[in-house]
Amino acid sequence: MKRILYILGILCLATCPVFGAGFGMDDVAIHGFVSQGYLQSSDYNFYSAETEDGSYEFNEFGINFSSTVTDDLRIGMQLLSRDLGEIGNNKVDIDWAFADYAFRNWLGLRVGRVKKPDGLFNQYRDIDATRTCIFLPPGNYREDARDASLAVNGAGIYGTLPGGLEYQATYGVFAVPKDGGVARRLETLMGSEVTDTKVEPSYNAWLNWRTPVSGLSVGMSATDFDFSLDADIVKTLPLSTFTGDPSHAATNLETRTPTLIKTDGAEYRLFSQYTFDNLMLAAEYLWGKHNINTTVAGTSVQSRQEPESWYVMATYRFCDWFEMGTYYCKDINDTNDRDGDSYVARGEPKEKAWLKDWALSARFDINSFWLFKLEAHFMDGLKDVDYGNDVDPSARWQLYAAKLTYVF
Amino acid sequence: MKKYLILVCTVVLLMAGPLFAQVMIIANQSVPDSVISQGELEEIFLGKRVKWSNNTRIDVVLTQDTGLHESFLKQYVGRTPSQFEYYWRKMLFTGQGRLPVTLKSEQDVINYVAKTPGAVGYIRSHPESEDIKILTVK
Repeated sequence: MKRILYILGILCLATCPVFGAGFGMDDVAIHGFVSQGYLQSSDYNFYSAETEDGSYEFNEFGINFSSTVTDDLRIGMQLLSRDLGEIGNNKVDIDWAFADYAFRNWLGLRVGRVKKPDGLFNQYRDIDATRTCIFLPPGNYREDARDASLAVNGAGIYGTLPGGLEYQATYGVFAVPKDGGVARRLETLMGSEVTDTKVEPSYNAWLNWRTPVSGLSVGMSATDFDFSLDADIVKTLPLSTFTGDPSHAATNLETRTPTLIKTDGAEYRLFSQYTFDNLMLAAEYLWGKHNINTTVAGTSVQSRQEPESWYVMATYRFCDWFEMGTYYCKDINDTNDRDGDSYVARGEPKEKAWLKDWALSARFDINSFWLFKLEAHFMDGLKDVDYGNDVDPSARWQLYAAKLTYVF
Repeated sequence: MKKYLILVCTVVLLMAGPLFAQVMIIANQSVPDSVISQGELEEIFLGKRVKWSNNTRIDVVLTQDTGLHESFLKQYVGRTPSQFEYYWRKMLFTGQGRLPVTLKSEQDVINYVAKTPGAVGYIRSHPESEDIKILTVK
């Protein structure tokens, strides 16, 4: 039913010219976007979608409403629905919804569900029309963590300071839904079923300096997190395992072991962007500290991960309707195990320790409202890759993506 | 040699001409500022600076006149029209700003700025309206 409504929505928007540039009713501005994509990988499944067989489970829909109440006060909200494999499933969520009071140029306050600034792209990652690539560098902008990293329920301050300095900071609770990407990742890793989630408030700070060199900006951001997941590790065993009677082998018994996973830590980013005429260059470096405490049947195990990821990106617009871009991203799961020795010790491929992604993108702006993108990813590594029961998976594989977007 | 130099200079000037066509920054008479820096002007048109020096709201207006718009962006904002459009889409879809008003002609911009307190825009030729002031960009 949701899918039918979604398709109807696309058709309505595509055939209704009044949506062409957004529209306003009594000072309420309405804008939105709809996109549908296709994913195909050479091997394995990625982004929790059946990419090896080709998948259309890749779409987004957003609509926002905003109004200026007074010279200083604006209110607005955006609804977002997306589907990426098993993530999202076109459930409609509030992407952001806040009241924004601008006291001065150097101080504004937002209260409600506010976007979390992080790195160069986090706030804008939902909005396909604002970039050249389809997928942002996967190590710095994890698709399966998108619902947790986009916004917080709380408050934020922002402002522009003399000398080209801009800042934003937020404090609040982010979402870790039971059916979201973070929970799904845990379920895949541990063969478990997440039953409950609890998230503590977190802070986030972002600073950007537009340097005296025209087009060059540098910045940094930091965010902390503290959340826990209640999960049942589910195992299905033949009844004969318990009774010792071979005649019970055909009957299965499901066992559930309650598990609590607590994760806290912080992530930091340094980033820079340079634009000159139609050329844009960007680079970003992320490192983090994750403390993970897993309690299974009363026994706790403490572990620590220090992920690291960086990318360099270049885009160039050749004419009004055509733009190309490329990036190289290197994502390391844990800097204490760069070569994957711990995976080898567990009998797993060492390539699970990393993912290197070289992406090539082409963007075609058909007109002001419609755009089409093609993208190829040449991968080296198996981090977050679902290679099923393949005992000797190849570390080199490709992912191809196409996406059509309508924005109004 | 001298002839070649003159020829090269002439070609360079001819090429540079359309890139830096004369652009004037105009504002409503209510605007308290008369001189602003290029950095401040960039911040205004990127929605990062939303108040004039007396803390009244800035109302930005753009034009659909492609040549004028492109010259203005190149000269004062350091962005191409597509980069500028990406930027405002980011602002719009993250709730950080509302799209600036975009008007068809230079005269529409003059009329809008003249009647809208706090408004700022850009035009090619000197306006005749008394409700408008020219902002000097230092």
